[in-house]
Amino acid sequence: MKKRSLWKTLILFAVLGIISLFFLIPLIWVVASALRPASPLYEYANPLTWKSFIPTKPTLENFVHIFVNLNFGRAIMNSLFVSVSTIVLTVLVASMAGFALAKFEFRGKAALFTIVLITFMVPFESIVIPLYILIKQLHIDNTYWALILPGVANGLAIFLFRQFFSEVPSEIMEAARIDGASWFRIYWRIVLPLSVPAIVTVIVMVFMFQWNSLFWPLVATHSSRFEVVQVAIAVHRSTENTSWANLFSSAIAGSLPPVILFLFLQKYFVRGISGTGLKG
Amino acid sequence: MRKLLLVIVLLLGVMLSATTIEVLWMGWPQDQVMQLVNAFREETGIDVDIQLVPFGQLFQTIEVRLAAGDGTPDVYIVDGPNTASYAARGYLLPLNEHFSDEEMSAWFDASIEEGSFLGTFYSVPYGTSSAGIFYNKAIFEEYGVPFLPETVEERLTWEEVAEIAKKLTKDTNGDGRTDIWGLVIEQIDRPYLIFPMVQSLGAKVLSDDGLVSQGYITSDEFIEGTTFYWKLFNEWKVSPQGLNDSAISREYFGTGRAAMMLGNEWNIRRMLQYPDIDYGLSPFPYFEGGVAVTPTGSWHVGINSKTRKLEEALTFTKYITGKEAVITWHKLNGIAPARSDVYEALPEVFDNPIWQLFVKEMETTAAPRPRTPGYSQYELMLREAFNSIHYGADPRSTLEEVAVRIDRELRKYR
Repeated sequence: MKKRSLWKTLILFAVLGIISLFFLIPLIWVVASALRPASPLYEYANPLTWKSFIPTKPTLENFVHIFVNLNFGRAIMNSLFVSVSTIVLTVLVASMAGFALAKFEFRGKAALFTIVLITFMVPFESIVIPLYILIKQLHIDNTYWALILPGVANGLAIFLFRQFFSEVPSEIMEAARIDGASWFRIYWRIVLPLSVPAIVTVIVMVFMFQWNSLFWPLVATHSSRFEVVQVAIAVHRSTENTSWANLFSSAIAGSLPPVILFLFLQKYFVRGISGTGLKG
Repeated sequence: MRKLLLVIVLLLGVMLSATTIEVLWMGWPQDQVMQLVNAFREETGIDVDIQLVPFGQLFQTIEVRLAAGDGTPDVYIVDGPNTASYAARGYLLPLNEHFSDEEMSAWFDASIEEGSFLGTFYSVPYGTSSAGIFYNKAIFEEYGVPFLPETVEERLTWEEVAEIAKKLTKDTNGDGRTDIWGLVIEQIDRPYLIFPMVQSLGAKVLSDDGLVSQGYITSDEFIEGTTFYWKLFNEWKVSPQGLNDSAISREYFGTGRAAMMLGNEWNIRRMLQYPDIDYGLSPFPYFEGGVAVTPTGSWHVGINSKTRKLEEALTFTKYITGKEAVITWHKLNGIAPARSDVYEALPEVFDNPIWQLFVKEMETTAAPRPRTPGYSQYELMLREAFNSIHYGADPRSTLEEVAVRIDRELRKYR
C-alpha cells in the first residue's frame, strides 16, 4: 500500500516536473541571456546545449548598464509611485461607489450601474483621443496626475466591490444604524475590514494594469522624468536595432516588483478563497 | 489636492515658457540622441523637451498627440511614407517658403519626393535607406558556390538567386530540419522589400492619385512577383517562415544560419556585433526581362502646423537635419544620411565598396513607396496579406480580397 503510493507520487512529480520545464525553459533562457556579456542572441542557441541555459561567464554588467547609464531605477520608481497612488485612490473610490450601489436605493441606480459595466467593456484605444484632450484641457498632461487619475476610474473595481458588498448581510448594518453609527462609520469600520479578499483582488488588478501600461503613459506624458517601466523596456526594440542585452535585463528587473508583490499577497489570496467558501 | 494641482500647473507653465520646444522622436538610444540635443541646446540656447517613443508605439502615439490639435509637439519624427497622410489632414507645416533652393539641393531627389505631397514640401529628410543581398562568404566557400557579383552591372536575377538559395539550403546534421537557409528576408512582410520585386516586373502598386489599389496590387505582374515570394517559403522552402522580427532575421544571418539575407544598409553597422562573419553585398536583384528597382526612404522631420514656436521649431529642424548633426548622427547610429554632402565629408566611412553600391542605388534605381494619405492602413493590410502568403495562402485570392478592403479604407480620402 505504502509502496504503491510512493510510486504514484514519483510518477506524479515526474509528470509535473516535465510540464513545468516547458514553462520554465524560456524564462531560464532569458535570465541566462541577461547574465551574459552583450552578445548575439543565437550564439548560444545553436546548437541548443546546456550552455544555452547556463552562462559560462556570468556578469551583471547589463544590469549595471541599464541602472547606471539608462536610468532604469527612475522608471521603476515612477511605476511604483503611479501604481501605489492608483491603488490607494481606486480602493477608496471604487469601494465607496460599490458600497452605494450595493446597499442604497436611489433613483437611476440601475442605469448608473449599467454605465459602470459598460466603461470596462469599451476598449481603451477607442477612448484614448478624447481622454487625452480631456487631460490637456485640465492642464494635467505631462504630470503624474495624467498617469494616475485615468487608472482610478475603474469600472471593474466598482463592480467587484459591489458584488462583494451585496453578500454582506444587511442586518449587520441595520444593527449598527440602531446603535447610532453613521453610514461612513459603517463603511469604514464594518464593511471595509470585512472585504479584505475584494481589496486584495483590486490591488493586484490595479497594480498589474498600471505596471503593464505602455501606450497611455507615452501619450499622456512626454518628459523623460515621467518614464515608466514598460516604456523603458520597449525602447530597446526597433526595426533597425535591437539591444537584446538591455531588453532582457530590463525585462527581468522590471518583472521583480510584481513578483515580490505576489509573493507577499499570496496568503491573502488563499484566505480570500477559503473565506468566500465559508460564507456561502 | 486642488492647491497641489494649481502649484503643479503653475510650475509647468514656468518650465514650458517660450524657449522650450517639445519634440516627439523615435525611440533611438537615449545616450545617442542626447548628444545631439545637448549640442543644439548649447549652440542656440533653445531648450528641447524630447520624448523618445519606442518604435512599436510610435505611430499610434503621434496620431493621438496630433489629434488633440493644440500645437504640441512642435516638431516630430515622420516616417517618410506617412508624409502624405499627415499633410492631407493638415498636421504638417508646408515648408517651401522656409527652405531655399540651395538648402534643398543637399538631399537626394527620392528623399525630397518622399517628403512632398501634391507638389508641396512637408517633411525634411533625416535619413534614407537602401537594400541588397548580403551573403555569408564562409557558407559559399564551404559548399563550393562562387561568390555573388558585387556591382550593379552584374546584378543577379531573382531566378538566379533562387537557384543559389536552393543549393545553400542545408540540413547539416540529417535530422530532417533545415539548419542553414538559402535566403532570409530581413523585414519579411513589409512592402518596403517586396514592392521592388513586383516593380521589377513592371507592376504599379497603387493608382497615381494614391486612392485605388484594385487593378494594381491585383495585376498579373504584381501576382507574378508575389508568387515568386510565395515559392521561396512554400515550394522551394529556401526561406524560413515566421521570422516576423527583423532582429531575428539578422541573428539568422549573423550567426551563420542563413547564406543570404535581403536586408538594409544599416546591417553594415549591425553586423559589427557578429565579429566572425565575413560577408559581401550583391545588388538588389531583378526579374529576367524586367528592370532594376530598389527600395528607399526612411525618417523625416516635420513641424506641427499649429506650433506656437515656429521660429524655434525651424531652428531645431534645420539643425538636426543639417550637415554637422547628420555627420554626428551617422557616427552614432549608422543610418544612411539623406544628404549627399555627408557622403563626401566622411570618405573614411563611405569609400568602401558596400557603401558605394548603396549610394549608387540611391542615385539611380531607388523608388520611394507610393504616396497616399491612407498609407498606414494600406501598409498594414498589405502586411497582413504578405504574412498570410508567406505562410502558404494563395497569392491571387489573398491580394484580391485585401484590395477590396484597402479600397474601402482609401475611399474616405476622396
